[in-house]
Amino acid sequence: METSATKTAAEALYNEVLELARSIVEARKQIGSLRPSKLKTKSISKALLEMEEIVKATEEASNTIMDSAEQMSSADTTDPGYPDIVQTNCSKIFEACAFQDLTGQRIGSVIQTLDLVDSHLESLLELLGPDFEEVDDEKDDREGDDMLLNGPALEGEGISQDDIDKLFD
Amino acid sequence: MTDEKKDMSILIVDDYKTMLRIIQNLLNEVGFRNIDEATDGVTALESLRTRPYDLVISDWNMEPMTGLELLKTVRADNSLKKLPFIMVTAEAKTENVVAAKQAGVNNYIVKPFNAATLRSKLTAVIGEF
Repeated sequence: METSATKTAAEALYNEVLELARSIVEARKQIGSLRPSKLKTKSISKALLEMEEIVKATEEASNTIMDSAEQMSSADTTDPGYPDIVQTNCSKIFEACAFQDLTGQRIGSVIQTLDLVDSHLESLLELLGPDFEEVDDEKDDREGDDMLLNGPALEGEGISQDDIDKLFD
Repeated sequence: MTDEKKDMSILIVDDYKTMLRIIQNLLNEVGFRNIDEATDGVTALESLRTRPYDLVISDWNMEPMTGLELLKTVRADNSLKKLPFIMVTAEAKTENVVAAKQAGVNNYIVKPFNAATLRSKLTAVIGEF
């Protein structure tokens, strides 16, 4: 025979489960509103393409600038055509420097994507609530000297050439 | 610059062709005319074992063999161990410089660098030119 206390406990459990189910539905809805698949397939894919274009454009510009500089430095200064060589190559250098405008716009677009990812992550953290415990599984698998490879330092992070020179004095 | 210095065999090692070209041009500008290139440590080592060189100017971050591995291999090789070696790299933390120095690098240039810096390190390693 069901006692009143058992019935109350069952009802409480039922309500807990119901509340949990509602929370899961709500969380799914909110995660869906963040449109993670659109972020991955459109925004991030586009940002990666933009970055590839930036690398390509800077390489092309560097090569053009160096081609022109090499032509000027190897030209015969006594040649009557020398001023034309300088003029032509200076124009090429100015033209090549236009890459900065285009890469600047592309970098702006990548920054927008990163801002979008940042705001999505912020929304996700809000959704998970203050009690959410993060699992730190970020492991650096590198060993030995490979751990020394970190690429160019950000401003204020690395040491200057002067400081390096002191280590060789 | 003396003919002896002009004729020095220099091997520059970098996986970025643009950087190879920049260093090559800077070396040409000061008068060096005997310059070879390699795009990683493995091919650099092959070149070093094929013909004699007077100086190596190498990047650090390359695959399949890094500049530091190349330096250590050079220092461990009896026929190459005294070869002057300058590291030119974007790795600019104290531990990088210390590791390179412990491995026997003669000088260390951090990217981006200018012609004056390259020139002063060359002077420090190979003497006035």
